[in-house]
Amino acid sequence: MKRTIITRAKNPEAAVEEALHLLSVSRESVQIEILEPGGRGVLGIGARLAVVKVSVTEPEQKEEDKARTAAAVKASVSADFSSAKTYEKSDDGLGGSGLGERPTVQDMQEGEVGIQDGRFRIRAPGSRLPMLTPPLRATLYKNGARVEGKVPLAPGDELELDEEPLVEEPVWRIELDESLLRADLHVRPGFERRYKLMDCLPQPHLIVPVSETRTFLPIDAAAVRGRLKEMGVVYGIRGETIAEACASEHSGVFAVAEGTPAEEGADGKFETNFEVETKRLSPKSREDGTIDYREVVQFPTVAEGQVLVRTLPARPGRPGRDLFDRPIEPRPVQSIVLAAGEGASVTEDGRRVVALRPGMPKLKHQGFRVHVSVMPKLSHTSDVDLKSGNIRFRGDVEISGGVQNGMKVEAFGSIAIRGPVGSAVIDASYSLIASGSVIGAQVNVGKRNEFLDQIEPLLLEISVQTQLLQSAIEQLGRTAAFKLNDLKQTGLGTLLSVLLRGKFKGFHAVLMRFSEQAAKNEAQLDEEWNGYANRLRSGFLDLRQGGFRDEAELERFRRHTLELYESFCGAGDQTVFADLQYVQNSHVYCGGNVRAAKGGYNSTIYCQGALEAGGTLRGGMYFAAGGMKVKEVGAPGGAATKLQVSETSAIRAGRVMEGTVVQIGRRSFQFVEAASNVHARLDPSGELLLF
Amino acid sequence: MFAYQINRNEDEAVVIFEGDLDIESGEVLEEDILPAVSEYPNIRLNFGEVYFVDSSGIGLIIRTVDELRERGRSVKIEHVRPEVMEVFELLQIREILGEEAFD
Repeated sequence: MKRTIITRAKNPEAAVEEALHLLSVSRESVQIEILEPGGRGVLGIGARLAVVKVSVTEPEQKEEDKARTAAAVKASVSADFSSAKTYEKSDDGLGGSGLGERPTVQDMQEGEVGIQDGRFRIRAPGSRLPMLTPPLRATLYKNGARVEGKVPLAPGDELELDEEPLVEEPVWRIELDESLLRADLHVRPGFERRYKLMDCLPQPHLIVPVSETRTFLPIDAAAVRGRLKEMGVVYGIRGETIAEACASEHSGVFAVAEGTPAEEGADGKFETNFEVETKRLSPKSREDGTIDYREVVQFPTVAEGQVLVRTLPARPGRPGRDLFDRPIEPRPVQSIVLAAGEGASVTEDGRRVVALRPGMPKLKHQGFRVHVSVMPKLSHTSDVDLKSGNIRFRGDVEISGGVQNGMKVEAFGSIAIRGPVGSAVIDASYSLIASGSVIGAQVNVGKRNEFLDQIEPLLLEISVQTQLLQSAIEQLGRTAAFKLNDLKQTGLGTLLSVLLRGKFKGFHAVLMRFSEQAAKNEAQLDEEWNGYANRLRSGFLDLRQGGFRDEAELERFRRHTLELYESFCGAGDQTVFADLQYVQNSHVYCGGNVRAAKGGYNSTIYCQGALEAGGTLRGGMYFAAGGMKVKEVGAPGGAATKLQVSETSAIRAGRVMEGTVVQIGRRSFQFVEAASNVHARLDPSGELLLF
Repeated sequence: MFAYQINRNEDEAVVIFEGDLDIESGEVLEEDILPAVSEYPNIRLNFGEVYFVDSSGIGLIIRTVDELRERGRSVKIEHVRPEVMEVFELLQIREILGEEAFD
């Protein structure tokens, strides 16, 4: 029993698809007839639907069909067109319904052409010839000439479809990525296409329907492998991906070889074994007004022998391999280099720094260099008086008693004084905590040693310039006309004197400044500093001994300079502050914040940070660059009190007595009567606002 | 190897150096040449045949020029070969002695 179905759709292809879907068969096992090719009509109006008839062929018939089609490709034209009618009669009666619009054979006044059994059938009874448009891809010959566009047909025309398969070769190329870690095979598959005429009812204009059979042309995997080899790709080739790519019927990109990237390592790290930051806890007042010192944890301290820093070794990466089988080195890893300053020592294995004395640890971290030193701490367990003498110490000082009149305490570090301070001089480089009253004292906090202040930038400049000098000497050595022999006899001195007069004139000035500073402060400098200053003089300035002997000596000097520079623990990693209680008839300078917890009387306080007074400031002159907060200021009819801040800061005072002067930047105001909740500041236009 | 020749005019002495101006020839410059030309108001040092220098030689030239100038003499350095000039440039001899020495 032959299964036949007629479908309609907007074009023949869609109608065939529909039919195949309804019949649940593949295109290979059916015979297709286009009953009506359909058309757009004029301006899209009156579009006609395409009508196809699809019949399922018997399996044995299929083979027969093929043979017959092959034989009948050279379709000769038959003048007898009546056989076309058999189509209509053999449509199993399905054709009648819905096909009413189709012109009948009798209507064909104009010429018509159709295809039956793979042969063209032309009928041209009248004066109008049927028209034919060749298929899109396949080649059609008319009387031996290729048909390029729409042509008229006359009876007797020989029409022939080119049966030769159309071969579209596969296209592929291999691309390597920049890092040579991946080879991509870009593939466009190749096909061999054969076309066969499809039967079709006669019609005045025939767009020749053809069926297409596609045969996949795989890529030669050996050729791909050969090309890879030619390109030098020998590592990481993936055979199965090549096979997959070669057999792919779709365009795509396949990673046919992949290298192994290097596995990155990790740089060395270090960990510290102490509190790195200075804690800024304020001492707590007890109910009865005394201070609980146990709460004061101001400076981190370490014990002798304590391991301060421990390094964790760097973990080197693992090399990879690129497609050319060359190793890919991972990024070199850096280890931490430990350096010990005063009071600390690096263990033999170079992996730990140990404190040589108790004190305050200082750590400087630059790149992969960690410099650790321990500032000594002096604990003075009684008053500073004539019996104990003045205290002058390179480190922190803790005094459990007071400081008596006329005495002096100076620390290149911080000072903590638990007792009262009389008319004494207190000099702290970093911070001062005075838990008793300060009466008649001269206090300097954060005003660092003048010498060290001046020397720090010089040291950096010296190390930079020395390096430039080294490269200048190296450059000279490369010139053709310059002889270096004499330097071996005389040392670098002769050359240095010329360089310091010419190209390095500025460096000479820096060296002179350093030398002068060192000479001026010789008495208070330690051995290391004096040794360095002498080396600088004999190496660069006083060349009677020939200066530095060779470049190695110059390099040692440069390193020494850097080490000294690093050993400086500038105020940058230390907070400068003064934490005071009651200040009377004293002069206080502080580079950071000042707190006078119980107020002040007739004093001068000058601070670069903010000033906070928990009591009354009665009489005196108070300046704070960073603004101030005062509980009460002035005295009724009493001493003149002046508060001053910079123009961007503000003064907040809970209560201001008459006669008090406040000054913000250059604007000042004197209160003629007492006021509360003063908030003095400048508005954006520079006007002084008081509340 | 170092040799020199002095051409004297009424108010000018021209010293023509031949050979390397180095630690050894420096002595000659200081002990022989300097006294011989120091009385002339204008002194010209011809470097046309100087192929090599070292730091001692350069140091002595600078010292010699300084000394002659102190006595109010005008000193000029002439015909410096390009390879020697390269050394002079690196050491900035021009800046040390002043442009007038190289007119």
